[in-house]
Amino acid sequence: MSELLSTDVLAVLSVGDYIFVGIGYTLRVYKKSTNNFISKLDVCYPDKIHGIVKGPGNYLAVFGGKQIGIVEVKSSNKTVLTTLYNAVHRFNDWVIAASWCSSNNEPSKLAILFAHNCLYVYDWLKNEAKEFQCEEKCILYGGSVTSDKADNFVVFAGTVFQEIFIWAVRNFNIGEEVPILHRLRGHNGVIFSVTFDPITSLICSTSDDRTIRLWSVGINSSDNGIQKWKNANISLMTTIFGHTARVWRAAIRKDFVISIGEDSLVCIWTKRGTLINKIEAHHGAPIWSIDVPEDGNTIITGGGDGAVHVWPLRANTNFVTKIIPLESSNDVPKHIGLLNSTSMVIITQTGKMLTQNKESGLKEVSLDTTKYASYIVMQISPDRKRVSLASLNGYLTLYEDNSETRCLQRVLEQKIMDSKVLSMHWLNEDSLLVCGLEGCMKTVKIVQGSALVISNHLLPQSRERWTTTAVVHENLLICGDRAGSIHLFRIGDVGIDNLLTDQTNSCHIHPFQSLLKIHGRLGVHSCKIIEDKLLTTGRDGTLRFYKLQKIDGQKTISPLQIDKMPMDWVSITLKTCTDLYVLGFKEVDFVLYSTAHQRVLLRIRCGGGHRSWDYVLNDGNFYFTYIRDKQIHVAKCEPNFLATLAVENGFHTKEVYCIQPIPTSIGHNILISGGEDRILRVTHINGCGSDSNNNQKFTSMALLSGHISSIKTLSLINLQNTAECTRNLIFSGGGRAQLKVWLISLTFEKNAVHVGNLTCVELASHMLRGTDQQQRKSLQQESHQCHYMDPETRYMSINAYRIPRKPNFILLLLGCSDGFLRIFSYDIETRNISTRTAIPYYNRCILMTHLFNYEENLIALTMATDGIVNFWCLNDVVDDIVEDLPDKDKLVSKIPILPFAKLGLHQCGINSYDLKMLKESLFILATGGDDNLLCLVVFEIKSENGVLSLHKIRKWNSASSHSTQVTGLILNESGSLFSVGIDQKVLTFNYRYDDIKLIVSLVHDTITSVADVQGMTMCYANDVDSTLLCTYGKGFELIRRTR
Amino acid sequence: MGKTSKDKRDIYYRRAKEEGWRARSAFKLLQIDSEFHIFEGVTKAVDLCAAPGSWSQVLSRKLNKDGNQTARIVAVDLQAMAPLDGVVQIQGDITKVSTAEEIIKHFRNEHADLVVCDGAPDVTGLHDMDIYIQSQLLLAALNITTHILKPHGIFVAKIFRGKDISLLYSQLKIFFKDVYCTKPRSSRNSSIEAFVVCKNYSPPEGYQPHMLNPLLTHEHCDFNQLTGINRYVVPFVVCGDLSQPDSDACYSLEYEGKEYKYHEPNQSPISPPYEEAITLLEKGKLQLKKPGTSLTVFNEPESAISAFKEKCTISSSPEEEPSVTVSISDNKALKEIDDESK
Ligand SMILES: C[S@@+](CC[C@H](N)C(=O)[O-])C[C@H]1O[C@@H](n2cnc3c(N)ncnc32)[C@H](O)[C@@H]1O
Repeated sequence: MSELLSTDVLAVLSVGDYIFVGIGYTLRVYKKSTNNFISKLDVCYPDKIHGIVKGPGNYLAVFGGKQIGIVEVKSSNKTVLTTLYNAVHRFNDWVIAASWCSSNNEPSKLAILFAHNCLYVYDWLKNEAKEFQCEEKCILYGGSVTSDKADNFVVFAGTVFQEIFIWAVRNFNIGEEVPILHRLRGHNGVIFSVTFDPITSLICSTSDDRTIRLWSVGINSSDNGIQKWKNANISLMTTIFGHTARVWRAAIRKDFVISIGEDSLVCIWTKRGTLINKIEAHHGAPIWSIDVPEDGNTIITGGGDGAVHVWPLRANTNFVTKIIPLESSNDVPKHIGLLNSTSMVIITQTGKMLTQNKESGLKEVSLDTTKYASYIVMQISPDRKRVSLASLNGYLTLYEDNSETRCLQRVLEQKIMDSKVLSMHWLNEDSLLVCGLEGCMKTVKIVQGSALVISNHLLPQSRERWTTTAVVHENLLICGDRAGSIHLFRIGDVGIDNLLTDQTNSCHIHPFQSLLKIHGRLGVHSCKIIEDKLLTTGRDGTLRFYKLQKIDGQKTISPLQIDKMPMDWVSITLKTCTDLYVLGFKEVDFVLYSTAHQRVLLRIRCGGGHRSWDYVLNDGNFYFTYIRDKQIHVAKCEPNFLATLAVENGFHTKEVYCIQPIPTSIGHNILISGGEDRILRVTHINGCGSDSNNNQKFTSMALLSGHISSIKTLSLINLQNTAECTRNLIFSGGGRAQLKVWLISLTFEKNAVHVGNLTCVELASHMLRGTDQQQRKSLQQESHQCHYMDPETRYMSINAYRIPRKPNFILLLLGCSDGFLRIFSYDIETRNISTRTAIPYYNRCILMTHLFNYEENLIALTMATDGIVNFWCLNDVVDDIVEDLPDKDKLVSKIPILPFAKLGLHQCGINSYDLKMLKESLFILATGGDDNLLCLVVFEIKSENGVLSLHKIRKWNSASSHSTQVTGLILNESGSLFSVGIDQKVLTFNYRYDDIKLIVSLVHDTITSVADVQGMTMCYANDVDSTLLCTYGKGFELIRRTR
Repeated sequence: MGKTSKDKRDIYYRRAKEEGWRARSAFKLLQIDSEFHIFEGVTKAVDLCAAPGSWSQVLSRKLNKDGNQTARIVAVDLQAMAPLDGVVQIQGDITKVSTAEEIIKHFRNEHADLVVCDGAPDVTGLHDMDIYIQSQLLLAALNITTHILKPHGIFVAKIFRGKDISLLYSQLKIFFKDVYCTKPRSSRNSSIEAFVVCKNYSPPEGYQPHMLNPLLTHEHCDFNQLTGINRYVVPFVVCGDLSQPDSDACYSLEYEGKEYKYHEPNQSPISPPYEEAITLLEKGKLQLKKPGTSLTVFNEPESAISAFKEKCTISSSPEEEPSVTVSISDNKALKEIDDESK
């Protein structure tokens, strides 16, 4: 039984406050206002639901593949109950579209358009069909059908070859071919959708040619029924380019055209083709389905990432920008800051300081122009009540916002630095860090109208030696500098608030911990403390996390994960109660990114981050001010409105190649997964098995980026697994011969899983051929050759093995696409990856590898595209690692080891396997091949005088269990074999070996809705009588098999 | 990544360029032949879904021995294809009856010895849909074949292995004595693609090829046949021996000791459907990747062209994104405007 499924969402429909969603063969119902899941119903098993159409009364037509189910919907005050009316209706052609007859007297009739360009008028109560075949016989890719009160049906059909056909039927003689009324030409590729909107009288079509086309339909008002369409004047009105890939569908709703495509964009247009908004909706996954409810306020989309989202249709009406003029036209603003949502401070080119607010408009603030003529550093305090200025000759001036008079009053002016002040940062409401020339830094506290210097520090030498950001935490001062480094200084023993006078002693001057150039040469941009973590941003486009840890009584930081942001210049992080926003710039745009939604909420073309800008977030309103074209602009919007939580959560945007469960001692299902989208994901399956309404959910706990090509394989070494904590080393590998090592740990609070208790750290990264830069460099040196000759290699499989004799060392076995079996070692202490051996294997791509220990022997299995299983003894390699630990990788050699045994089992590639020990020295191996063959072998391994040998004892084969390649296999202890293939069949066999015979029998089969299955793994079933299988490929599914 | 990276990743791609094939698929047909000897005695052949044309190249080289152009080859595809000596080309949709009729016309009083079909939809990523369309291409090809193939002739076609494949096998089995499923070594391990090799064409007695809803009549829906024990199991054969390179392996550029020379790709499709969109992008006027950028072309009455040209403006959408709005009557005019603005 399917317990949880995430895959392509091909159908969404909104009815009132409910959203109906087709995922796999299941119809799911959600309540729109609360985002809650309500109920589900299996409709089209084993086919996927491709469409849901609302009918009269409480009926829905749900179709997929060659089937249609009629679903009755009953809603009581709280729940919605869906039931299938009779059995599903099967046809022998693919359903493209369906529509209910609108005439009231025939509520049981459906018009169904099939892929062979024919139409059924189908009575689902009587199971009777009237069949109409169009004169043009060909395959349709998309289309729709409409009906009117008089039972006239009009078909809009899209072909593979650029054409749209319009044909209509009304009680035509069955058997006669229906003529085409109109052929619309203009598209240059396959037509994926054609719909007609009677309100606007427009036909809207989308295509492979990346365009949306609108066709005007001129109807003679005196015509009726089919005549109306016969005489209609149809012409291409508008061709819209805006998508960067195929456009799957489009909907017209009143004044808007909304299109979705393979490029993951939702585009909102006016009927004239003016673009109103582009929403980057499904993280790069194609968007398959759309519904625009009649209220005209929202858009519902379903995507290839398995997510369902609700978007505002008119988000931008909430987005206001205005320009604030300066009085004197020849003065221009230079610095701006916001005091609150309605008032701001401005410093102009000519050195004037102004305030501006609603009540009193523009007002000049007195400023000592002798000190602040040509150079000013301005900062606004965290509570936005104070403005600090610093000058060329070391003065600090403070203004306070008087809430009664609404003007700025100078409260302090004092020389605090012997040199020019290069930068200044507020540390809290009454302390500042000031940075002068030659790295001279002072922390200053404002006490009763004067500034006391609390501590002195020296910023380490660098080319542009000044701070760019600073925070304090307990007795720590954390600064980021222009050189991209983070420095930690101690200030006293107790923290800045309790220090009154200068208690400087030598240990404070210099940093005690520095992370050099961590944000790259363009500098750090911000530091922020959230709970026990430090977050920094910089102009390397990243947001970095660090853990604050006490070591020997002193807090220090250690790096955690790095998130690449969709911007070049990451400025600031902003915490709200439900989200963490990241603000920054991408080229000329200001970008507001939500980490909770993992998406950009807002872009403002402001000209770039070099200009002065500021923001406030007030009562859910976000204000952003910037200077552009010498003018002050203020933009306002509600970010909450820009993103609502997903109705259904998304998973990987492309194929999933590998999933590994993290071991937990209390039966939680935490999965690590990787795939074509290059992201390593940590996912928590909530409440498996126990949930009464049978709705398992999953939440993404972390998304780790860093792989530059697809992730093909994962291997895990558990370091700790207790009731409090699980700590694991993860080895991920894939395209471009890239290998990464991560530490993923999770602590449990009262056995519960919280996202906040997960830490993910990238420990090491390795590329076989060096990084791209290194490759280019070596090419330049060897100038005689103009191509880098070595093959590109993909790591197809990784196995990690902790060497018992040397527990700090992990042996890594890598099956590579260039035919080499490579062995690396990883040192847990130094985090060093060294390459050890590369064993050539006949230039065949190795697909699968396995490592196991047998009587002190380390044995490796390799399976390649030649269909042979090879057995290697790795004892020598282990000895090498244990005995000899060179500083450099001098052991890199290509030892010509030969396998000690071979089993030729398949004609071509082996895509899946599992190995179990039956009893002492006796093993059973299951393999699944690209030749559709499922194979079980019982063999014995013997060791004589240190020489290993293998004896094949029994073999069982099945060429017909699967009709496609077999991609996932699990052998379990209790004598079951589970297999899955690209044919989506999940088979359960019983196997038994009784010293003479190997008996295998099929006991159960079912279909998984995951297409392109890449593998299968086992999760915690939390129930002794069942097995929880997880199939993955295009999405993932949890299937429970109960004995 | 350099331009050689595809050469390293795909040995067949590289070899195809070196040996002058228009696509790497050429090796699939060659490997199928080495196992099944499909070209023996063949002088008339049909290549369905032929673009860019590497199978036609193989047919032309294999069927015209000693350099004389005696073989008759007809190639059909949706896409236009660069001309090939001795190959008659038809552009059209093979699932469309009128295209089928046009092909049949070429063989009025004659029969073809071999029909091959390498047709594949431009996959959408929806596997069920792609597999369905693929099966319809195969049935369309089969239908054309029933009209033109000589008795005991051979039919080779691409299939996608999916959950309903047994149905296809049993349909083929009606018309051919021997049906095999094969996968050439040059076809990638992970791919769902395979080929059926159908030998010994012998339609049921009294079978009349027809054009009446041809695709559907093959599709009798017998579910017992699909799932039951009587289901027809087709032997699966991998063709091409282990001396053939591995399409999944990565090879050094100095493979087999030969000196490497970079070759430009041979033949890209003549005009992809999105050509127009691409041209607009390349002119640099449109950066569709940028938020807010779009282009709209209005088809207005001819008389008003000049007035519309004046309307060719950069407009601002609410987010202050410049979006180009060009108003003209047809695509030709669009290009003119582009030229003027240079
Ligand atoms: C894999 S390519 C064929 C390659 C070719 N055998 C060669 O060796 O160069 C598949 C071709 O099928 C064509 N095709 C897909 N659907 C078609 C249809 N309905 N009618 C005709 N051709 C079609 C595509 O245009 C594409 O060129």
